Amino acid sequence: MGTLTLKKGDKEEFRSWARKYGAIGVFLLLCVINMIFTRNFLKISTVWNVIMQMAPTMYIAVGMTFVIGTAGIDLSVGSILAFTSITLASLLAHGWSLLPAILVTLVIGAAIGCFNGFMVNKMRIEPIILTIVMQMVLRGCAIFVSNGKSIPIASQFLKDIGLYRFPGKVPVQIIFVVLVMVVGYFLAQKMSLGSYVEAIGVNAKAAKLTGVRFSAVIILVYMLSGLLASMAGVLEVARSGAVDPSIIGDMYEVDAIAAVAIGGTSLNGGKPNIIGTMFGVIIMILIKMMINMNDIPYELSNVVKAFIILFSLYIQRERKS
Amino acid sequence: MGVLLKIEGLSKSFPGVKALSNVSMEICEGEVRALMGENGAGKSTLIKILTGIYQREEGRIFFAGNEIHPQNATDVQRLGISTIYQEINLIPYLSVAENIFIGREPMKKGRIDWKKMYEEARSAMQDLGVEVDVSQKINRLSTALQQMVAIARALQMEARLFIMDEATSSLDTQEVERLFEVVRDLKRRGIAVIFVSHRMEEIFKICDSVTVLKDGELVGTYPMAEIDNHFLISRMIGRDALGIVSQRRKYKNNWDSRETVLEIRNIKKKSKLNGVNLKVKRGEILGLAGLLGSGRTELAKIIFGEDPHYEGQIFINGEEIHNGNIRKSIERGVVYCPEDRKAEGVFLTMSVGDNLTISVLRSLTKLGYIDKKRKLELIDRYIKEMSIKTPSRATQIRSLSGGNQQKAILSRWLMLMPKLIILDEPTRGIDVGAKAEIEKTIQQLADQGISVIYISSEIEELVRGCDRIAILREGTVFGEISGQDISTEAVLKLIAGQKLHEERN
Repeated sequence: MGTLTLKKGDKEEFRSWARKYGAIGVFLLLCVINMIFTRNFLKISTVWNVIMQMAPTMYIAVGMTFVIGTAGIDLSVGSILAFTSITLASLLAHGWSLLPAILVTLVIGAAIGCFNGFMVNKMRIEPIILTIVMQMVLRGCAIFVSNGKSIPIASQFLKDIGLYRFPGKVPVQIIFVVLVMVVGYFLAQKMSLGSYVEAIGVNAKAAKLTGVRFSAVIILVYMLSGLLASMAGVLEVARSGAVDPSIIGDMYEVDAIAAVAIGGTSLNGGKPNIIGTMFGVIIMILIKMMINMNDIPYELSNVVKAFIILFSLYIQRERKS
Repeated sequence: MGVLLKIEGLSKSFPGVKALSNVSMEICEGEVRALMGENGAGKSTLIKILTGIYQREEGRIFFAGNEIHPQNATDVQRLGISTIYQEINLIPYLSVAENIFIGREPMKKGRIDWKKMYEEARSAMQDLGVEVDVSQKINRLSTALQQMVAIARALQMEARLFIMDEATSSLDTQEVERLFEVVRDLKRRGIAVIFVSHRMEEIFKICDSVTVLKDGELVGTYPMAEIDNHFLISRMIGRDALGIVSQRRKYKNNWDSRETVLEIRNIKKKSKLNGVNLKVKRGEILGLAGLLGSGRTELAKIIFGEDPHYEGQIFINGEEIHNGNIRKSIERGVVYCPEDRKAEGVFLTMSVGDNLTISVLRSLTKLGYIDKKRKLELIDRYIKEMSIKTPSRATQIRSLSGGNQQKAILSRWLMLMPKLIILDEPTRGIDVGAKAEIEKTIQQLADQGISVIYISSEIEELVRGCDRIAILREGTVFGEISGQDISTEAVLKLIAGQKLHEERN
């Protein structure tokens, strides 16, 4: 064994520094690029715009942060979003009133997440395989129940809320973004859940041997992820006013995973870093804006995102000792 | 015999540490040289420079008369230097033969000549005194056999210097003996060996000479025949060893009046344990000796509740319980420090503080909310009480030495005020100074009334530290000795399957 102590080169130091502050760095870089190239970027309305757009992704990314913290992954979130928003739209179309419809939607989201957690934990199915299967199944279900057609939202009230702005053009989404941030941060930093997630992600075997409630934590994080995905669905529906089952929430999991990775939560499991994830989400939105507002083909945004994910994975790569 | 390896004025530093400073040594052909020193003394740095993992800053290395500049592992292998680690770098899903000949397979008409390869592999293994099916995949072999394959491969590549870095640490007594046979054979062929081990007895058994390093500097090179244990330890830690090596545990005979904390009756586990009976009293240190495969670890896992599949009865404080749930065991006050510290004990990338409090965390929370003040107080208290050497409580535990990691694991459990601690090889891979400290701590715990089950392959350690030793053999308790009857010879006899003379009446 010998000495593993005190032998981190400068490179290693750069890595740990980049892992911590990389998201803020990329964020600032994108701001500067946008300031130079994007017209009308330096306006307060840009900030409101970002907040409005980031809300659904933020919900999904917070859930993803915990799942990834346990060294798992949830690729089904985009489809959970689709399935639950279709459910919400259909319930409303069938004359349900808003509150019970939303409640049922959220319960379904949580239940799907719970199922994911159960399968991962008790049936020992690899998270990546399970959730990619769930991604296909749920997307299929969403298209099936709606006959592949877009469903308009029958609640004018919900649509009004989704587009509501406080005085000064502050979008209503700011409340929801702040809410999920605070709750996520609290869970990760102040509650024992954050420590247990980290422990499981870092060393599952040791976590079991030290008496961590392994199964409960795994099921809980996937349930949280499912619940947050359905909440993201409600937010998305409220803003867009209609649900297209084959488009809504598509590829959201990629944005969320990228946001988590840039945000500094180790993809091999580790401390869930919610603040980092928030910057990650903002970065994703900024890339989208940069591309939209400069008439760059939309498809290119995925290329940019891909590079960002690769870069953050490179930063995270553990040096073998 | 000629000088094979010559090192002159080797130096290497890392940010903030001088890892190696002006170290010189010579090794002759056919010499077995021990390399010793505490953790951080520079052994690994020296080896990593020799094997091209680190680059030296100053100094020269001569191998077989030529100056060499090791750049990477393959480079070094080509020169004739091979390293046998504790974790073996073979390819798990390839066969024994493929591993031996990897990259240099015998060819016939552009194809691999499998027949020839298997034949040669078989004879290579036979040369090492091992009969093994060479078409078997590597990952199905024991660590000991894997090492033999690694040695066979190195011999195929005409290695002239072997570096064995803690190669014996996961072997049992017989396997070590077989490895030593091979080493003696290597010696006869004029191959030199650098042998790194924490186990003193092994060094004295197999090595011709020893080079001691301390804080990156050369202390000296001594022929084994001229020195003893104490001399060596005192060179390694730089102070007189006599005060450090812990005293034999004081003999007590009031056990009958103490309550029984744990009793197990007729514990069976398919093909591993056939009816084990044991009792542990309050404040007693019970040693569990036996070869690897004698069922020691299996028994520990059953008592801890990690393994629910067993037959028999377990009583804690006189109450029969059904075991099989780790969390319930922990609540009952039965805790376990695993054998493989890195893989099952510590959370390497978590802070020292979080590592300490992971088990006690639940009692520090209210509705999931952590009482941070109490948590930090507790961490600071235990870092101080257990004298865990760490720059701060926020330091990642992986940068601590093995001994301090072990103390952290112990502290983690002590926070829960356990009744019974099961220690599985608690001093494995820990240097002499820290070992003595851990042993001392265990003694103190027992004196405070905590019962200890102490599993170790190092019999000396058990003899020094236990009130009673149970010897497991083929899944049962083959013999028990206690108090003044405990001696190394007695334990060895029982392990070997001979009944003790006294036991006949």
